[in-house]
Amino acid sequence: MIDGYGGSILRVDLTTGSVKREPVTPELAHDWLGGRAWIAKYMYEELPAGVDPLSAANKVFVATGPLSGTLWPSSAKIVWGTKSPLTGGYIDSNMGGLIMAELKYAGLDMIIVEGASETPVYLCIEDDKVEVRDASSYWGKGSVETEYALKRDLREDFQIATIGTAGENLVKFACITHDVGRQAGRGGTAAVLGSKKLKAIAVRGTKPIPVANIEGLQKHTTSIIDYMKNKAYFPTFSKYGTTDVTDWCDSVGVIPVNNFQHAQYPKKDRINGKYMREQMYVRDKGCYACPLGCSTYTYSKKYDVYVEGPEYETIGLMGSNLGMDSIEEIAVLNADVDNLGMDSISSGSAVAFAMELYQRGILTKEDFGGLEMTWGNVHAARAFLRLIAARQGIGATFAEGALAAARIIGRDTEKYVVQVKGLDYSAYDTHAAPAMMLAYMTSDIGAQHTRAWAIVQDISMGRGSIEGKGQVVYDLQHLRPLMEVLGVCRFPWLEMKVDWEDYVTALNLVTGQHYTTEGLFAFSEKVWNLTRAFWTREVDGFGRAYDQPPARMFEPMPDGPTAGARVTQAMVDQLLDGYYQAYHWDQNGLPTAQRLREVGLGYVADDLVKRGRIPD
Amino acid sequence: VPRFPEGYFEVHLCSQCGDCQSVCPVEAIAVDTNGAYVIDESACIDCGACVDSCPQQAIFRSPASPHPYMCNLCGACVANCAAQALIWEEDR
Repeated sequence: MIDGYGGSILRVDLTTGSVKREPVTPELAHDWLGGRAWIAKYMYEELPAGVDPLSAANKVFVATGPLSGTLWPSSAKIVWGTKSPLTGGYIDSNMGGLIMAELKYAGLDMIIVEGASETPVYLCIEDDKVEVRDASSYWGKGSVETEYALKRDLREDFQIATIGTAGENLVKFACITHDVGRQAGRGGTAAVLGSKKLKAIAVRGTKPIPVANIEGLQKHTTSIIDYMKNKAYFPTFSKYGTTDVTDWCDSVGVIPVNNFQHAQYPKKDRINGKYMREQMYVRDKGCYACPLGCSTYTYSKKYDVYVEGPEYETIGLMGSNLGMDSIEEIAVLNADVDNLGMDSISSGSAVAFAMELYQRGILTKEDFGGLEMTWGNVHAARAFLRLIAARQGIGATFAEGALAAARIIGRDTEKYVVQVKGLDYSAYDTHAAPAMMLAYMTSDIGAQHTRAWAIVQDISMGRGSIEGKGQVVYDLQHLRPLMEVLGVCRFPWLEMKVDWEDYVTALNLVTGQHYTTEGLFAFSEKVWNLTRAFWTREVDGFGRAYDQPPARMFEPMPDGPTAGARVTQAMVDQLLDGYYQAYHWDQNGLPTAQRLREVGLGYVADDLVKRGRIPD
Repeated sequence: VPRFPEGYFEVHLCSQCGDCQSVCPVEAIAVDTNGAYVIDESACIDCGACVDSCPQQAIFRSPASPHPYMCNLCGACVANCAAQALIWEEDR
């Protein structure tokens, strides 16, 4: 028994149907903690170099952290990782909900899915009983429909993660859905499950999680909950959640509009959290052990759809970025992609890219099978999303992801795709936000905001200034990814200003170990080097060229608060030079053998040298 | 059209009715000094009669122990509810 852990890793080989339990060793627990760190380690060590993401040789890793499922506030994160079919590199993506706790109650800290089944299956875990079961009756159903069907066929108290038809059809930005509205959205993890014919994972556990100092944890947790509840921002964030940032993003000119061609939205008041609350609110929704409960169930009368959310990223990417009229259009698009099982960020990016091609006359109504892809045309967008999920007509091209679609379409259209490393931008424009842009450029999965949400510092430190921005990103990239190592949500820290040291205290109370912030940050840098090493190994010619911002950022912003702002190559080079230096990487952004050895990754250094990826 | 989950979570609390005590064939259930019904595990024969008898479903089976678990009014749920939605009646 290791405090803080369920104790076992479940290895499922879908080719043979075999299921094996491996013990979590004290070394794995205490040297590698869990969550995304385990995923990075296992991915580097177990995946054959150059593996095709959609082949049976790729694996999917589903990991909790030592705090997941404990009393600690918002200890509700589980991380999904694999070699991404969208980017060809490292991906991990996390979700909230309840399944992380259930998995640990079943005595499991991680699931490794290997091989591929010939027929649709789902994994059913009930404490020590694990079965690979026939899923042919669920295949072809949407993500949410599948979850309901499984809840009906098993029991209400099973926690279930599913893929939709997009995942079945290997759409490269297909996402995993759980608890109706919680998604591990990014990088196409569900397409990998689809290639393995794994439709769902259902878990029910009844065992306790061992905790080293339960009384200490209870006391600590109670004091943190009291602290959070007394914060002035608590009621507002609890009520509006991420939608509360919409007005701010509009006022400072970072909300994406019409595929990042503008950064302020005239219809802002029809897509913000306040309007959503007035028009569509049904009830609040929270994840496991969360005092905040920042999510919302909503209902759109206009379209007769129920949805959890929309969250801000969806409001940005599927709302203003597509020129949608109001929150109700966003809700129906959100409900569509949730049930089809597609990432709302990359879906928004794909539709926005298509609409810009239509705007410029590069693709026509005929190309889109009769759809008029004008900005704000919700009916066309809905139909187009269905074409993508089913890989029908032009949908097959866009199902590859916006960047790959541009390469198929050709005609110099790549410059209209707003992405880094093939992963589409989150909903923060970076024409005048160097720190946020550097965060996108260097995030270890592609252009995702969560590794370093530096937009706040861009505004507070001055939009144009580069000075000190590299340090901001460097620091955030050490702290924030640790949340996905521990298996907790970042909102108590970010929104309620719970001190990071309180997380370290909780970790020590749960595990009985003596972790320090300094040690954890050094560990975080080790993991950051490991994911960088994975990219270096997997992608030919990887380096600085892959850390470039999208062409759109080099075009001057035509209007709004950031009118005239544009990014220059000199600015990009300056940001990257400082960044690589801070990490002790070479000029091309590759980890050096010496640095890898210093951070405790000697075996990775040897491997990359042997493969000729880096000099010794 | 998929809607929202219709299920909800319930906290199963002992209402102090004493049904468990009356059905226990070996008299292993008694009232402790806190006024809560508790199981004397040395006398319990794991028959499950109390589990079936409990109108509040506040007595459980768990793989962690052969004996049933019952709510003993320890208050941990109140102390640990993240939303602080549970309160002691006497505090109200």
